[in-house]
Amino acid sequence: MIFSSIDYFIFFIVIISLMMIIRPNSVKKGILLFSSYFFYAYWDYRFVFLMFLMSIVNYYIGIKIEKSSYQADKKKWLIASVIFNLCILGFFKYFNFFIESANFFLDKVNFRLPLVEIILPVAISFITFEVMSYVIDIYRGSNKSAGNFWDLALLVAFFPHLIAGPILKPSHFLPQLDKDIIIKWKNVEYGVQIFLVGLVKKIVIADRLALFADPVFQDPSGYSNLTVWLAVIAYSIQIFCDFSGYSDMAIGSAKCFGFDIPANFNMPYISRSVTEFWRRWHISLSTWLKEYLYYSLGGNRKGEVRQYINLMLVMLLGGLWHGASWNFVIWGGLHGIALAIHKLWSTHVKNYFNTELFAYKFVSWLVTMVFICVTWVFFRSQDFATSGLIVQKMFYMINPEGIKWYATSIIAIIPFVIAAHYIGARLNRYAYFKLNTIKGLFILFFVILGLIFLQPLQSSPFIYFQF
Amino acid sequence: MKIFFKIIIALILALISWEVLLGLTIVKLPGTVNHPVFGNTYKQGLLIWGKEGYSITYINSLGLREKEIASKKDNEFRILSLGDSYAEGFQVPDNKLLTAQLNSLLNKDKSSDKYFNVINAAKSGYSPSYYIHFSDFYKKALAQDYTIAIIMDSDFYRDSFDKNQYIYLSQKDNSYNINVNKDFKSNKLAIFDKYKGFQFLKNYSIVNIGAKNLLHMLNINIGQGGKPKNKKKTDIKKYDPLIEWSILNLKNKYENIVILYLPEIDYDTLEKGKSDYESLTESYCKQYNVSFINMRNDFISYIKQSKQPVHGFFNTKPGEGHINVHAHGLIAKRLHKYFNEKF
Repeated sequence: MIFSSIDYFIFFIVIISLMMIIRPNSVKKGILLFSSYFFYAYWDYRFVFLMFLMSIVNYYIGIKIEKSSYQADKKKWLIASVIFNLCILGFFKYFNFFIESANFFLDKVNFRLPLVEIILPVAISFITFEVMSYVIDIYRGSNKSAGNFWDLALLVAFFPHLIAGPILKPSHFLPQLDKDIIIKWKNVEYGVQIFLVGLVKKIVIADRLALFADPVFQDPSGYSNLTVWLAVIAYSIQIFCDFSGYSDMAIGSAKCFGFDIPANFNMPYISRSVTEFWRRWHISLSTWLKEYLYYSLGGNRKGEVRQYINLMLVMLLGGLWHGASWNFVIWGGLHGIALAIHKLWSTHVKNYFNTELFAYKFVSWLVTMVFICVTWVFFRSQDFATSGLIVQKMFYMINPEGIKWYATSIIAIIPFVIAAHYIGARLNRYAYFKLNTIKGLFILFFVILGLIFLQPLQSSPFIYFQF
Repeated sequence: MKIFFKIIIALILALISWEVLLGLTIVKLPGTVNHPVFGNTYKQGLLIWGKEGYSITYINSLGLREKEIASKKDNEFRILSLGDSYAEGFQVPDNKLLTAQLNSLLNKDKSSDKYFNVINAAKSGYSPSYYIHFSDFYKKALAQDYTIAIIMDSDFYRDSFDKNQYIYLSQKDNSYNINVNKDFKSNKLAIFDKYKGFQFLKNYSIVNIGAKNLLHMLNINIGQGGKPKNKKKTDIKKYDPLIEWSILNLKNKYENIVILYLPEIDYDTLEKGKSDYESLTESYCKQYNVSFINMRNDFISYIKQSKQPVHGFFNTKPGEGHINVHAHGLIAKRLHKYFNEKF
């Protein structure tokens, strides 16, 4: 069930109606949990048990850590939890990747390891990170274990964020479960508007741009250098609108039930450095990587060289988290290198420049954007050979000629991108339209009708669903 | 009650806003009228087409994409261009249409006092059976001196026997009967044709686009009518007599005619040979001494040389959909050469 489907609207209306009718809070939480499992089972019911297993094992370990008197015991339980979670993730997501990578070398001695047919459970990466953060927080003493198992199960499975995040911080979400769940018009009014902004980003912008970007990424050799550049820019906008659109829909859905989910994006394409980009892009993931991986590796506490190595390691693993492919590893690696270079620049070189000059700001932004766009090539391409071809085409390293396709959508979409950004930013400041005024209702109907009129008949799946 | 009125007002304002926006950018139809000869056809008026390419054009009282056709002048040499949506070319601006370009090329040569007038009589969904059936009307109403019939494979395998068309064929022994489908209304949004009182709604852009998208969202089959898609081009033997019959009848019905063939291009393998329909059309034209122009080589040379496809627009994937301005230009040049050699 995806947010932009009719099925989801029916599902959502049924759940919210039930929540309005039913009084006891425990029953409401039960309904939310059951509906979240139903939401997940709608894809593949078999993996509901896996999600349940991960929740119960980590709940148990959380209690064990909390009750252990000795640090050594706490550490043992933490290691057990990390191994358990990473084994599940490793088996389902990376088993065949490692076999294939090993086979690359084993081929030279005429030996091949067999591949295993494994179905990748939806959202396994998000679920793993969610439960890991729960246990690590308890180990570090920054959060207590959930009041009961069902609260943790709901934190993991809560349907608005289940499939593609944002990854919730247990210390932020669990206290919200202690309060009564009350459906308030103010929250619904606000949530619906955030949801619609997300839906516009997804349907009107991302899906439309996919119709241009997909064929070019499929066969880049056939298109001209400028068309390839435009397709890369189109994909950069597409992935932002697709993923931030999903996050908005998650935040909006949760808000209707009275839950606050923090923003996952903050206008990342205005960033003037890669470091700033990662503060604005997929905030819940970058925060997770920083708090649970970068700090665990020593962060910046072990000297400058070690800090660069840590940045590199975090981004390589962050890249691999996105998918079992060397393309993602390269993407992460490039970002790791860029973060290290930016750190080096900020520490040793930046002071020689007047950073307040417009020219400096503009060049910083341009260099950052070109870098981000080029790295998206590795993220999007189906294999390394295609990525290489696209990059060569972009920088005139091979014949730049080909079909000149200047898709109207990339120009036509600009007002929608600006409007979605502007309205999204206003919504973040709680400056939303009152839906009981003619102005508010007009905007509501205008947007809903726009979604009907402007949807492409061929929709694309959410990009982050594959992770 | 107050909120109910607010909802109604807001909804109406939103619908009006979208009607204006969609009419200017995606599609604005002039509506339809029941013409005594052509049946259900576009009304006279402005038409805006933003699907694939973009054009703002005028539909005349015959439902043709042309200005009103004046009575023939003494020195006028009138050429009638027949075809389907590919030749009608709503995706291409007026001045880039093959007929407009041919017109200006022919009239540029001032060697004779002849004035050429190329009329675009192409209409969406038309095929050779239409041209044969309407031949007398064209002769009487338009009095052309020469006729260009633009045909392609799908005219035979998709359109000729389609009972959802206004004109369709039925086979009888070794011959064919032309049938007129009196109930024909439109090939789009057939769902509205069930309820006669609501047919006018189809003329609104919000209904035209919205109903189709909404029903698509709800996964409801909207009854596209006219054009069954993906009909396999099997059993060429079945179509062989049809092609022969079509060529022979076109020759008999039109005194001076040239058949211009629009090939289907496989952009992955440009060197792929002619289709069976193409070869048969060419051989029957030769057998019955009908002038024949095949655009295959012109298209392929152009694609190879310029790397630009002759199908598709900025709105769509290059190489897919209707022919674009490049193709219209190539066709005009080829016909110009043909008429120069002829006269």
